[in-house]
Amino acid sequence: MRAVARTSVPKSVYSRSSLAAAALTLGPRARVALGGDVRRWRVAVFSEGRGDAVALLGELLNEALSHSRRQARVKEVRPFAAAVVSRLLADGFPAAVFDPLEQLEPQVGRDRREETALLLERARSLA
Amino acid sequence: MTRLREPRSAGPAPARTLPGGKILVVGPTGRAALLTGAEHAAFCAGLEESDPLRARLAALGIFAGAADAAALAREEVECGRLNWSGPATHVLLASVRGSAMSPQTAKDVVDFVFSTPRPTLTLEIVDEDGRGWPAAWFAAEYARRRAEWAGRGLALVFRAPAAPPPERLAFLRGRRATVRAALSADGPPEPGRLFGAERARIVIGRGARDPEGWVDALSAARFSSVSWVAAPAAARNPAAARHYARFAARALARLIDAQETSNLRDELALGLLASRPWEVPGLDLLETLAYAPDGTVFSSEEGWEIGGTAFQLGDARTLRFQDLPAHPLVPALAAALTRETQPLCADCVYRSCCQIPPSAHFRAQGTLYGRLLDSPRCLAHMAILDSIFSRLDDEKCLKLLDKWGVDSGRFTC
Repeated sequence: MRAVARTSVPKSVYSRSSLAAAALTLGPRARVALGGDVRRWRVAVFSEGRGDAVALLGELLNEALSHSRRQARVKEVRPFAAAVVSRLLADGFPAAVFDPLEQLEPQVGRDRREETALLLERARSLA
Repeated sequence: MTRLREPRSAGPAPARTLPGGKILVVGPTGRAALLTGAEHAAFCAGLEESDPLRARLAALGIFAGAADAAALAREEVECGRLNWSGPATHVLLASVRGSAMSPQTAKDVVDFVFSTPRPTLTLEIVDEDGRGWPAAWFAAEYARRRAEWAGRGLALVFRAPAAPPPERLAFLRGRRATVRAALSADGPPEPGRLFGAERARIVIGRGARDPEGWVDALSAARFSSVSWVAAPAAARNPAAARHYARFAARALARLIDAQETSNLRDELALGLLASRPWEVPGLDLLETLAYAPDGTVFSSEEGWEIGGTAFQLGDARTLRFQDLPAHPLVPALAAALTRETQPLCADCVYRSCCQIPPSAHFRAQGTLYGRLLDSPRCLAHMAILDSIFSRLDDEKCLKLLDKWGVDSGRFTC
């Protein structure tokens, strides 16, 4: 098991934002250092726990590639995804509707509250 | 509003080689065909207009001009998130890991549950050690009244690892609650462990053996449904995940073979085949919400199991359902649950029915989206769906789907 693993990857495949997003998924298990030249990133993974740094580096690169493909895919289907997600967030969470019976007849609400209080009292006695 | 372009063709068609060598090809609306290797090779090479295989595949909607955009739109509206009307299952954790909920907190939780808009709700009460009984009792009684007052449907489920005392069982039966046994498949399925429950949630650990024996025992004990749940080890360990996937697939194969004598249903398979996100068990927010003993609302039971605050949505006492979109987790979940934006999901043969809870992805891989290539949950769903789709031309499998109320016509043509 190794505490440090290093590699270099092409910038044309791995963007900085993908590597940064991938580093987040490792959480407290590792520290990730990034350097590079014009064409390639130099990536170093330092295991912070019992995890093997080589395995963690593999996980980082898998996740970075997955992130970069996802960003490309999001661009392709943005109109559809945006339409569905924005509609879900805008209309999918309606406010609760108050019971019209309780509003028209306040006594109904009072009776129900009383019944609920009795139930609560009985439930407490079961402890 | 953005006007979407009508697709001119829906291809390329996702394909998957199934156990046994057949190749599954699926169109954009989920219609599937099982091809032989030779048929698939002919399809890839290009089919003549007069080829009978062309007509068969055209019905899937995978050729330019044959794509049914109206059916695709209908599918999205009926089965997609646009038709979502709130979570279906609310898991109230009355006692878990040594903590018990108070009756007052149970009231706050039930009040929140009834502020969600779905007309028919399922309230699943979990009482792990019996100390949550006062909260469970209150939740069952109060939820029944709330449902009656509001004219809403309510299914009550009580989950426990052992038989409740007779007086509690009588109370639950009197409230038409379904008892769900929370078991582990380690060890043989002795009848005593099944304690007369109607449903089972069975954890599959490394020691789980004999899926066929479990299916037979549950069928003999007249269980109506079973949910095979991966042990926490399977979340990160590929070997444990493969063991779980094999167990679940073998159990499903046994159910297909025993369809004439067994009334047992596989809840996960059924949920996936329904192709509606609010029916996929444990799907964060869309299918489920979970309530911890202290009243904290989580996007799913798995989200609660992970611990920490990542999947917390708020406190049942103060949270309002209409405020959820403003919580940072909710748009993130909505984005993560959009299969079309997931590179591998978008090209998967099972994209019309499969959904993986983001909390399961997070637990396994530290990301809401998951990396499907090495995702343990993806592996399990694939195994389960392979078991069914590889037998789409088998009369026994079609009869089972029919018995479960699955519209197999949606998948076959």
